[in-house]
Amino acid sequence: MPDLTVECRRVGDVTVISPRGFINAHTVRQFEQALAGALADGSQKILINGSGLAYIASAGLGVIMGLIEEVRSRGGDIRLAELNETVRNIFEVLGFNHLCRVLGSEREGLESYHPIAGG
Amino acid sequence: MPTKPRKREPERKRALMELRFPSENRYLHMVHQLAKTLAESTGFEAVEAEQIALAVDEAATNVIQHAYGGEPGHEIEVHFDPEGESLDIVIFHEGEPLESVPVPEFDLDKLVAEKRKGGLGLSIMRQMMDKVEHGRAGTGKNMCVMVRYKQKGSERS
Repeated sequence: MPDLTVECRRVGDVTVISPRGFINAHTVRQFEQALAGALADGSQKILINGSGLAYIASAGLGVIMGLIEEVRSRGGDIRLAELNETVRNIFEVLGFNHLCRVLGSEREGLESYHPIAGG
Repeated sequence: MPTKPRKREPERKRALMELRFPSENRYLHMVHQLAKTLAESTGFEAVEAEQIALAVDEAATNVIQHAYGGEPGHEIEVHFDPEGESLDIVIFHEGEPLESVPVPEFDLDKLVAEKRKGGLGLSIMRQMMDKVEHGRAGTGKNMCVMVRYKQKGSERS
């Protein structure tokens, strides 16, 4: 089983990036390439689906940290959904939950980019 | 009349586990998983065990990247001592002493504003463990000592 696979797909104008495995200094390049590839393709609305993510170390958090302001300056965002308990805990301890929006499900993540009027 | 053999108390010895691995990123996951399994078997909850494993992962990453400058073929040694009130983890290496590497105070907003990708590793170690100290062992090796108290651990998650 590979250490990390990263699937990218478009749902409307949102690019959903689904890492499966773990992100640390060994695997971070793949994660970084997936994010950079999505941005190069013109995607500004990124949703990272963390349902397959076992853990994320500083290398992976650093990628998000290094890109988020640039994405926001173009009118986009990087949001996360379906983080497991341990990853969510790491986000909270480091304050990343204040930096990025973390949604419960992928559907909520997609809807957060297109809020329904009055909903 | 034969005398009843006296029951001998087994000599108490501090449990200590050691792991040696080469200075390459591909071994980080193995170290991470070992630390997590050990922390869980010591009594830490799953979330706490993951925090400890992440701290060990970050400490080992720092040794590979900063102490050895990313150069493979050097040895890293990790000692785990789960006995007593805390889980003590010591990482030994013979690279550059890490206390000499300047580390800024953790400021997430500042790191984001500067579009920095690094600067998180030591902060993660400090957030996840009760004590993180760099120093030099009696053997002359450099070391990073990390301690996580068992009782206090339950208050963190």
